[in-house]
Amino acid sequence: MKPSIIIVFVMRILLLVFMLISFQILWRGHNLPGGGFIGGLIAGSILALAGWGLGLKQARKILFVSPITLIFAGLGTALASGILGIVFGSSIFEGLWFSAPIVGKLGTPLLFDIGVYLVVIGFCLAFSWGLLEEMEDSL
Amino acid sequence: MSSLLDFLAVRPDVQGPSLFYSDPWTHLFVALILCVGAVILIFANFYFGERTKFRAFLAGFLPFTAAMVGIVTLNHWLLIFLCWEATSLLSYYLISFYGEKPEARQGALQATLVTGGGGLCLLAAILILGFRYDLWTITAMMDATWWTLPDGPLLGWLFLVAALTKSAQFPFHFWLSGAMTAPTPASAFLHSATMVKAGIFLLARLNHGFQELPGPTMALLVAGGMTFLWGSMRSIFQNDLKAVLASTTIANLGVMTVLLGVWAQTGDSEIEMVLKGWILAHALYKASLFLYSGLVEELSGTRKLSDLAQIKLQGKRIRILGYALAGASLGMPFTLAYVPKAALVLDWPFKVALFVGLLFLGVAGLLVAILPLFKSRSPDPAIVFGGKLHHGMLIPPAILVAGSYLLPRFKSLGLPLPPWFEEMNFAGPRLDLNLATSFIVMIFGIGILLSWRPSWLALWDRFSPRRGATVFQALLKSILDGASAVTQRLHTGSLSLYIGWLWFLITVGIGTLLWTSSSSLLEIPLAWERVSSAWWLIALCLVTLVGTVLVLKSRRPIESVITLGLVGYVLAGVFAYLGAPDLALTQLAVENMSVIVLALAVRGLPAYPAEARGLSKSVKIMVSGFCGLVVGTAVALSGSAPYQSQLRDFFSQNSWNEAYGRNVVNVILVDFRALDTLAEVTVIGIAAFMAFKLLQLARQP
Repeated sequence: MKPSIIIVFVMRILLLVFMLISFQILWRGHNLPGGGFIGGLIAGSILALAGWGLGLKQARKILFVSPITLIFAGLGTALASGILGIVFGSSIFEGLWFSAPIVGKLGTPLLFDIGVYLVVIGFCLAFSWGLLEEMEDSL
Repeated sequence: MSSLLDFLAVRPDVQGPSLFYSDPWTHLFVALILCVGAVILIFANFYFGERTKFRAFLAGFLPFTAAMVGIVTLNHWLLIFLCWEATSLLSYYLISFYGEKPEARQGALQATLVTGGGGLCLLAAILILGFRYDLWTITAMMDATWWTLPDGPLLGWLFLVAALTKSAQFPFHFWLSGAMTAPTPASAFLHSATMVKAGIFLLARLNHGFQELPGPTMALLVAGGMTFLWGSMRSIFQNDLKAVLASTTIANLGVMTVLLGVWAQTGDSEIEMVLKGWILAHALYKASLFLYSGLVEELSGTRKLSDLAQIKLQGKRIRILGYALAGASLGMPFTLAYVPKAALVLDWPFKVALFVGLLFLGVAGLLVAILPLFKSRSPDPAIVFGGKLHHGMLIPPAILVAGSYLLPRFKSLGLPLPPWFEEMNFAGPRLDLNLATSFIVMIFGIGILLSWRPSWLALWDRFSPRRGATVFQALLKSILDGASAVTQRLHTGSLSLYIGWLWFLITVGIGTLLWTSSSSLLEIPLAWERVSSAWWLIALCLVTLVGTVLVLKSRRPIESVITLGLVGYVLAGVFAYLGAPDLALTQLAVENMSVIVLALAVRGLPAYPAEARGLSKSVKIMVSGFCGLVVGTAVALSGSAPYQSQLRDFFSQNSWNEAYGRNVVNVILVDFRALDTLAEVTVIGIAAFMAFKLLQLARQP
């Protein structure tokens, strides 16, 4: 079944908007309500819906990696941010910060949050796309 | 446990007791385990034709050896217990090595349950010692003379049961016969230097304590005596070579247990020497006999004595090995077993019983060692077998049996010897009763061997009492049946019953907590008053209530999902209003996601049936009503608990100064408690991975 053109159109806009929102929420999490978990949930929800609205094939093309890869990448990123603390600091998960132009301070906690963000997206998609796949099979 | 961590601490400022405890018994056992283990390893290398089998064997054999060495060398009781149970578990692996055979699985299960169960007694003793008296190490326990503690006798009994199960003593002797399904190298190791000797080792090390505890000592004598008699008689009525050997092992362990008992009663260090000699001699010739039985099987293709009686094995080397083994296991003069055996014959109150038992044992040894080498009297012509054996399979048993003959000579050579060996007494044969008994046993043995018939085997079955294994299996079956009966009663498959139980128990649990803390009971009206004073909260609660009613009234699963989502959004509003924007955001996002996933999951489910299933409606209403009441009260009360401000102060001060973040919640998650978060996301990842795999499986036709 081909998705309706209206849904596809709206879905594309929503996907763009909500992905940007989720990035913003992830980014601002250190100082304002938000963070990797909430950002990941928002991104996961919109991608899950995109799987329905644009069709799984299209959605997979947009994400270009499988949810499981995302989970492992996220776990790896989170772990790496902890190991950076051992290598350059004195203990695991020691926060390391440095100043960057334009964006201000960057640090390993942000890297950790990105890891959480990726795991949560992978988690949402493993469930929703898995169920969607079953649905498409039965159609 | 903290004591274990202190104990293992590698920091130089912690002065803990030594990691290892060593006494002469340790030396004897380490030497035995490693030497016999190495020789058996060589044998196994050639015994397993396929490399993959050999590697799989190594995977069990090597950790088993390590665990056994751990038992005899470590000082901390918890580490010893770990090793003790590790040998039980690994013996399961080794015994069920040919797991495709049902009897292998059964024998392995039996061995693990019996020895593992005995291990629980050891754990109980360790915990009593550790938590009541703070004695976690053997050093500390010996210094505190554990037998003088108020719990001394109890400890003695617990150690006793642990050791008797491990060493296959009556009434736990049956597991060892079942364990013969292991591959031959594993059997050789289990029966000679390890596993069954662990119990003997434990008792020997603790013997000073048993000298003060007459009850357990008496039990040692009784259990050992029974085991000796049963094992020695059983041994000549077995058809399988390995079963004969298993029975003789049981009998020999019985002798060792009796020796331990006598040692504890008399405190005679002469007995200790005899015991050491017996252990050493038995380990060497028993391991060798097992390997020899493997050779016989390799050549003739059978382990059955009734078949072997028709067969004559040819080949000079195997014949020499067989006769040498016969001498070693009979305890002939100049062998390692001669002195301890002779000492027994002389200094023993029940001479006749002992003599008969030893006679049986000798015959059993001869049956295994010699019967395959010649044709016993039977009408059919003998079938002659003689194949080529690899040197690698012949040399290991030859080394072991050579040890039986040569070790006593070492002392007279004046070589530098380890002290535990130096202590042993291997006086040469004296022309007295010892020598005479040895020869009488040999002559009788050969006589019995010559008249051996397969028809003898039926005799035992005719007169034997119920077998221990049968009783054990019946016991095990009754436990399993009981468990499945309970499961069938509780797990009816009715989801509404499960959920009913769950909420009922939650209600009872929280209700009891509330009830028992009387101070909180007084605050209930106060708490409700505080809640009811916020009118907007009541309004929101009413909306939630409406949503809940809608959920209940919905006719299709998808309606429930959507209305449940509405309730969740209202909750998010509550959080936002109460000043928890983070929580509100999370609640919203989670609600979104769960509506999407649940909607996908319930898609295609039929409408709810008209009449309720499972529990009746009134029961459901009652359980959920009470549960709501109790949980609501608990939540209302939790607001009145004394407020801990240190945490808030700490995080609000440090989250900006140390972690450069103003959002305290996020700073806690990603910085202060990052390791916890990592564990949480790992759990999330694993859950997602499993869901992914399950859904993938469900899609396959």
